[in-house]
Amino acid sequence: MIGYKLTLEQKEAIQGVQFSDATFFNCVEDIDGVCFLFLSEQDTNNLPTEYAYLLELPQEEFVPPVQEDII
Amino acid sequence: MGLGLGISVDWASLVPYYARVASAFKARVEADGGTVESMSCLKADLKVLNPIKPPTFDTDAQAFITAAFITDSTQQSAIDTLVVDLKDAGIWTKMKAIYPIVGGTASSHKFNLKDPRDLDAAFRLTFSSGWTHSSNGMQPAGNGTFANSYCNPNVMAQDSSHLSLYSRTNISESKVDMGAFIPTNGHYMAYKYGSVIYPTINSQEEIGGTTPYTTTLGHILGNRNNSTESKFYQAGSLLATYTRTSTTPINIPIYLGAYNVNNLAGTNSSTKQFAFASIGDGLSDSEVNAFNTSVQAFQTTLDRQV
Repeated sequence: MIGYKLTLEQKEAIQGVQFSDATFFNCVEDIDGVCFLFLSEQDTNNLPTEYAYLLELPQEEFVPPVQEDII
Repeated sequence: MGLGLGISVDWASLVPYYARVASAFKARVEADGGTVESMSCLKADLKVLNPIKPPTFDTDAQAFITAAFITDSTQQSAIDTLVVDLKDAGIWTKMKAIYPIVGGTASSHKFNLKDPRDLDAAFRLTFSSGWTHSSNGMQPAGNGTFANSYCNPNVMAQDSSHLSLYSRTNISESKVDMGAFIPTNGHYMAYKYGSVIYPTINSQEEIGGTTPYTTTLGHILGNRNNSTESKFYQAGSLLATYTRTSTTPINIPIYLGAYNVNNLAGTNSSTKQFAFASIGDGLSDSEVNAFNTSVQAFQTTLDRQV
């Protein structure tokens, strides 16, 4: 899955921030601890202009952390 | 009889309910020599003959329709029927949260049918980024996408609790669809975790062996009705019973699309499309069956049944 790659500072600026009526930013770490943001098409359409810069961030393939069963 | 405007009325075919009004209408038209000379007169009489009455819904259904801004008449009717069916079946009072997921947007999908206030205390959903909302439901992207219900497992009693969802996606994945977990106790739905099941409904986490689920489609429900066992259902039918001693319900919110692990979404989060979800008390076998019948009828009315 492709996601937007964030720096730690970028993640801390948006994590948990509500950007539309019922939706907030949620960043997740990949296998290397790098922060990623996934936005659906609707998220993108509802993105306030102040966060338009997120759409310019580099996009890369997300590799999830190794999953232990069941957590 | 001609009315002079290209309209003819077959008086004999009018139903008795309208007979008195129709008679007065006819008299007025005939008094006019068989023609209608005034459009305002015609419009006024037609309003009497075919009064436009707003539909009246169950008060709980209406409250949800208003809050979620549901304007489509089919969706309104489906919600009303769902509420009435659940009340008739004696299930309504056993629900803490019902998410009909109707309306097509996050702003309408977030509301709890049981308490459609826009408040965390009403168990209204908030969504992380990554959800796709449509008229068919809502689908998480996986990789930690979740919705917070603000409803904790300890809202229900230790020995009486259920979780349910209506999945429109048939997929084999090692993912958890909803719930909460604080090692080592949990309350979550991992009914087809790859090839196995974790039947964890207010109990310690323990694998349940090969899953009895052959698909992940339809209304899927995990249930506890006593201190000794949990039961798992699909489309109203009991698939398996597991011996699991109940544990004290945990006190962190139930997530949808993932499970809440110590207040973080598990990375093994679902990619299934949800068309319904519920959180509530334990149900009997017959109640689960009635519940499924109501939910399936609801999905069929919305033309999104699987």
